[in-house]
Amino acid sequence: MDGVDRHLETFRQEADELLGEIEAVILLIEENPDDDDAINRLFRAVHTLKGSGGMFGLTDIANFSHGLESVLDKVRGKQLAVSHELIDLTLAYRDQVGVMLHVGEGDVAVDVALVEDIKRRLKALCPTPERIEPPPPSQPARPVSSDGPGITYRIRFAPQPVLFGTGTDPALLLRELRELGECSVTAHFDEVPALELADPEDCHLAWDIVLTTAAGLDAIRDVFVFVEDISKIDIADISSDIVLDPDAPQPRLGDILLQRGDLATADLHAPLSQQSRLGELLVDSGTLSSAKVSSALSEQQAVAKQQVAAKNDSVRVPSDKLDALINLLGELVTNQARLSQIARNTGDMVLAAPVEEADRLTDELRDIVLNIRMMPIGTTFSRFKRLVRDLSGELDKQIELVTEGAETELDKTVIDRLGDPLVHLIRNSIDHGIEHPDERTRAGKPAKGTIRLTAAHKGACVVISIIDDGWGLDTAAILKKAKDKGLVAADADLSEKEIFSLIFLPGFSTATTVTDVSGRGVGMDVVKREIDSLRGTIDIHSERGVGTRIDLSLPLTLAIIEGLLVHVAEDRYVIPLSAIEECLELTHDRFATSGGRNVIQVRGVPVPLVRLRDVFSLPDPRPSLEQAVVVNVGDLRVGLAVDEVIGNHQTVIKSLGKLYRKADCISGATIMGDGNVALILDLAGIIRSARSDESVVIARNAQARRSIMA
Amino acid sequence: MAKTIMTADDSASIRQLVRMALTEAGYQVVEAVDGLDAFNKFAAAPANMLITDLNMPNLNGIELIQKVRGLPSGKFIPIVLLTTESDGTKKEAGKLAGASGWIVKPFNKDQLLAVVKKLLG
Amino acid sequence: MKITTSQVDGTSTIKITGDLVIGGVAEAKPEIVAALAAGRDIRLDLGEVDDCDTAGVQLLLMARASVRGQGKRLTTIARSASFQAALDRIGIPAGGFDFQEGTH
Repeated sequence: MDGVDRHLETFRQEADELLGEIEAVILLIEENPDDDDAINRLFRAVHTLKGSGGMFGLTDIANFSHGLESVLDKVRGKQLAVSHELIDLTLAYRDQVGVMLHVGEGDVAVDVALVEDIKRRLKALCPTPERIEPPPPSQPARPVSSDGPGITYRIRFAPQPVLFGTGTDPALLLRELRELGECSVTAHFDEVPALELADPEDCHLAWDIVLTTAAGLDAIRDVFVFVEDISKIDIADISSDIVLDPDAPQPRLGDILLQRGDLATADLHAPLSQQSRLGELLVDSGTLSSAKVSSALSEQQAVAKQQVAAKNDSVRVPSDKLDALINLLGELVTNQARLSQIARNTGDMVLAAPVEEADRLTDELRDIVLNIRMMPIGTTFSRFKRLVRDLSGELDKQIELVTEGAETELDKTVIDRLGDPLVHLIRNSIDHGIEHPDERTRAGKPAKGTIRLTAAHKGACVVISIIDDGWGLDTAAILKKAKDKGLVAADADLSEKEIFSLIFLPGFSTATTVTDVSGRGVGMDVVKREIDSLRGTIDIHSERGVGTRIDLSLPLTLAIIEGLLVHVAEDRYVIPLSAIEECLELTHDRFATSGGRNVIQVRGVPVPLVRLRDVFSLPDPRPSLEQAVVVNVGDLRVGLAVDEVIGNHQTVIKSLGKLYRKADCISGATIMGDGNVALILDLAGIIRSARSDESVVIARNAQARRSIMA
Repeated sequence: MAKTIMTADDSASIRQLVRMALTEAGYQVVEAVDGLDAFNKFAAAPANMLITDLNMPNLNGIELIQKVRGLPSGKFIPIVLLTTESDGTKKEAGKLAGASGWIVKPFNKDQLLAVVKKLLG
Repeated sequence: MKITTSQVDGTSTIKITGDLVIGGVAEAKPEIVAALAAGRDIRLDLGEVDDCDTAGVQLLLMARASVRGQGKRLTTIARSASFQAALDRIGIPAGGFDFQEGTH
């Protein structure tokens, strides 16, 4: 028999005895209604049935007994006379409780209707409606533990002298407070009276407590529940201002003391005119007790901690929820664009104003939602310090990593995916870029090399640069190697930029020996692919003997794109705005050919022309006057021939399904205001396919376009 | 040395519940079946704490508290009054008589131990 | 609570043994007051204090207040672990208890 059953069994025996007592006593009362002792015994028996019934889960008995107890209390208090009805009801009560006690043993069953009838009749005996007792303050509830930094409270606890006489040791209450959270207790012990002048059985102490807890105000009040009538208890939330404003300056000690009323302004200014620490001054000058100052100091510390916590105060949200939000936002933006278009088309003035307002709100919502994903890139930067330290040691090189612009914000997805390419680029700089100290000294450079990792906003992009002061790229060696490996034609005549870009070709490695550091099966081509997939571009500058600079231009976010909307045949395409240099009309005098390629003259410079109609195998006829959008990707300029430039378009990107990832020239799709799909061009891919040949790629592009548009 | 707690209650089942909960928590428990029994036992061998019911024959809870507080050995001990929700005003009376705190019935083991810990440590 | 006092050359030593709790403070008061009056240099030997509650600590704080009012010097020459734990519980800094003339 476990504890509960044992208690229940004991209660049943006890209740049976009490029912016997009730039966005997009620008969005494019937004989002599003025038998106070008998009435008290009856009351106690019913009272015990109520109290213990409730204790052991027999709430029906407790409820039932409560009605009779109320009536008997009035009889006991001479507010109600004993009546026949009361005697009858008490006996009926007794019988029904007997049944309730033994439900489940054999075939006894409670007559619910009868019980309700007795309750109703008992109620009718009460001359006044029974006062509903408010829920009692009851015993202290255990604190609900919860995560989070919690709230900082200042608690002043000043008990009356009688405290000890109530059998309360305040040390135990302080212990309870400490269990609620981070707690600093300061007793005001300097104010206790001299022994010969006061009674040591009286409590002369008071306390200041600074408590940081997540348990809540009620849990704190519960600690003092038994002493609140004989104590002055002030509980103040001193963190609420701080949490709202984490950047607020830390409160000064003097301000805390003033706010607490421990110090008058005049007292504060006197010591401040001297040059020393306020706390010490106030104590030394006898203005304040050291306890008061040290209590204020602990408050100052708690506030400072709280501020730190508030700065880190954040909500973790699973990223799929965020993605869902952004998807939904995309649909909202799309729908809003549609709505605006309809409003414009109908020209309804009544509609115009609210649609415009909805437009504005949607824009604001978009900015805020997209901003949620923004994180400072510094979180990524920090991991490279270690990398540089470890690798330079391994290679016997002296290298310092300098980071700039760690606070620059980028979409979290971009940051996450940027980690590996950056690791690779930095490894490459350490491995191939920076020379050994003796080589550097011979070259007249400081023995210690420097790698700078910087991030900065540049238009709609963030440019991340990896700059080293090492060898610089050896164009001749790169070109020779590319030719040896058959990556370029033996007679190819390439610009410096074009040669640099060769290092991103699959299978290329400039180092004659593959070292432990960069030879981990990840080539620069992987870096290139990853940056491309982020809709970013890579740009290399290098000077022999001076150093190398690699710029990665990345869109602020992957979720939204600022683009130029163009159309070719029936289709519409979005060209990322960040890459666009200019738009022009393809008049006849612009055309030229160079080595069998289409070339246009842009400000006197020949630029290769790519027809999107060709790239995506779209049907003719071409319009008599085409337009061209000149784009610049990694310093390679290309003119894109389109039927018409429609205008600027901001759009939320729907990512393509896995199936279409292979589509070289398309990086995503967006749904237009009118419900049609527009494809977002992957310019790097288009340039690649324009430079390679051709028919295979084009067939694949056409296939992809058809699948997506369908 | 284990601290001694006296439970004064005319309900055997409540005494049993209190005794089992407190014994389990490491206290020593002395039972008294009514107010007078409690006072006599306390006067003979003081406990470190008293938990008393309100309604008992032969000295109710409030009378018991007053008498125990009158003993030197009972002057400063924690005393807890067991009440029910309908005894609202009795809590005040109990405090006036010198109770340290109260527990409202029905209570469970954890609530009992929380109060004991608050007052006795 | 057992209190032993001794006086030597203006130094009055008060040794408290056993429980330093509320039940004993009234009785202890006259003995301690007398011992405080008997010297200029008051030494408290608390090395054998057992249980110690808030009232017990307060008794010594009140003694400390007397000494300070009279411009005397008070030092504890020994502290039991339970006394030190009681100071911690009550929120009295470790160095807050002792003081010497002129440094209040």
